[in-house]
Amino acid sequence: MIDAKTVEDISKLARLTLSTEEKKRFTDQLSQILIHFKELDKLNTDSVEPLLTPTPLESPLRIDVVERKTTVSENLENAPDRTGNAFRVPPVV
Amino acid sequence: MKLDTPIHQLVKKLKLGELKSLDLVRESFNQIERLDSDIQSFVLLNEKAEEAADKVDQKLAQGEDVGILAGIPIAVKEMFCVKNMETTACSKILKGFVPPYSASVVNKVEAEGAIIIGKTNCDEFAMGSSNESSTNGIVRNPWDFKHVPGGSSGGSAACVASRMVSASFGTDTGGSIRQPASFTGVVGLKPTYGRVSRYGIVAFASSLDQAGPMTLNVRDAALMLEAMAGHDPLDSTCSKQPIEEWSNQIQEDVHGKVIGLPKEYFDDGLSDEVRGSLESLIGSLERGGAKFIEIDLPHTKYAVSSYYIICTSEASSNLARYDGVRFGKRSSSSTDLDALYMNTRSEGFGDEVKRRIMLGTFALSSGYYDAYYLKACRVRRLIQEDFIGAFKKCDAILGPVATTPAFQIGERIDDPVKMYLNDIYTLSANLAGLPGISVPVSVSDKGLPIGVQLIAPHFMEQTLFDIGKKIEVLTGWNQRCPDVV
Repeated sequence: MIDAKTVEDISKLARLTLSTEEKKRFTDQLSQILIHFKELDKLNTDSVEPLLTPTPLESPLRIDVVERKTTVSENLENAPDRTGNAFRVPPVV
Repeated sequence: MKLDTPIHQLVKKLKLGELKSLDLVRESFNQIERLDSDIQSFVLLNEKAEEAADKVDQKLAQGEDVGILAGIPIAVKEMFCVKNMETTACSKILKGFVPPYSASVVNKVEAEGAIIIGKTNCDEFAMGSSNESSTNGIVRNPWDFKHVPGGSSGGSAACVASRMVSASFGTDTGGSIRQPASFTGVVGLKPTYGRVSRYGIVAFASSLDQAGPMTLNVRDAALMLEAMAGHDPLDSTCSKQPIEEWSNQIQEDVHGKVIGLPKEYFDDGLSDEVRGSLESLIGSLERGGAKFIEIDLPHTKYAVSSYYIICTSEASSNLARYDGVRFGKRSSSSTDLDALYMNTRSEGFGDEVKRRIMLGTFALSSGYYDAYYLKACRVRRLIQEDFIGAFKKCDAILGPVATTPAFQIGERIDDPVKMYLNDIYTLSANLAGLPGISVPVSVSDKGLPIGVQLIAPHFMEQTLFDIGKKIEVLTGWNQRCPDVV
């Protein structure tokens, strides 16, 4: 169902580094879960519209006026590392 | 003990000056001090609770209208942002995060006079059915410390069951309010999707998540919902349906009510003990005038797979925001940005959260999206249509909450499939967006509570309160409480 190579590819997409032990365990567990999911294939759903959210969605509009609920410094308070009003991160290039 | 008293009676006494909020809050802290080192339902206590209670007392003394929850001590699951109180979703990755704002539903109950006593333990990011995946440790069931309280709102259930507060907030994505309520002998309500604002609640699966109350009785749940519900411009999925005085409108007469029994919910997977207690309840309700009919929910067997594909897909997307850049934990050993993301996430997320992110990333990835995610959403529509069809014939659906009473700590933690299958009776209501309630019915041979689940059509919470109240009267549950209390 799912092999170690797929688990490794998926972990890169998910931005997770897995240990050798985790890779092995997740390969086993995800395979078991996916075998269970396979039961959905028994249902023919070709003519069924996907239901993405359980109640009808509207697009509520509001007047385009800026409301300031928190200050910049409050919003930056939780930054693990910052310089002035910016988040500091390791070099990107 | 005052915290045993229904909320509307406490509020009445507070307003008449026969009781002080400060006394309630002190009783709450005393009970926590006495019991919570064993139960571990709280992860953080509000140092300003007494101050807030004092303010409410002063306002009440001056005859001010403080609100429908004036002076009542409540607890809030660690998934809700509370301004200036650390909010971690019981995950290492949010360690140290102190939100600069409160969830809308927290603001609403505070505006009604409620006093927040503290934040309660839960499974990490609300992902679990046993409260064993919290980074803050396992919560113990107050009825028997060897057993789980259920999850993910295990702390919110346990603190109400052990009378540490009058009520608590839980969140329910696939049963996380109803199942722990059943395991601990309290009332747990998952409102209709959109009834309560999700703004400021840590997101797990946005099309399934819904906040709701956990209380000692049905009327309190109705009263809490009055305070929690209502439109919020900050959540575009939050409904404009009017809020009613559900708690004052409860009609416990079930004469003429038609209740559906889905045959798929009473199959071989259900334990004899739970089946027995539901059958005896059905008999009592029948004698009380309710009419029972058998109904079909033919796609029930596909619900677990549909649910786990959808919730993990939405979770993998929602949890992409935890990157170590703007808030929460950051790994200290990264020399480039991608390594910073990878290291932070690998160090910060626990086992179950990683498993779900992996599963969701797989289901959404190129080549698998149609076969898994879209397929699951198509099945979701069939499940919702099953319910719409059933509600043409009945006012509400009655069934079990879980296959068994609370299981033992450690019993299922190594078997994710078994743990997921445990949610079979609750998660369909989330897929379909329907309101559901768990009401205590009896205790097992081992002395563990067993609850019943009622499901109603969209926005028909009143039906749940009406039938739930009748069940409460028939079973006389209000008299029961764990021995430790």
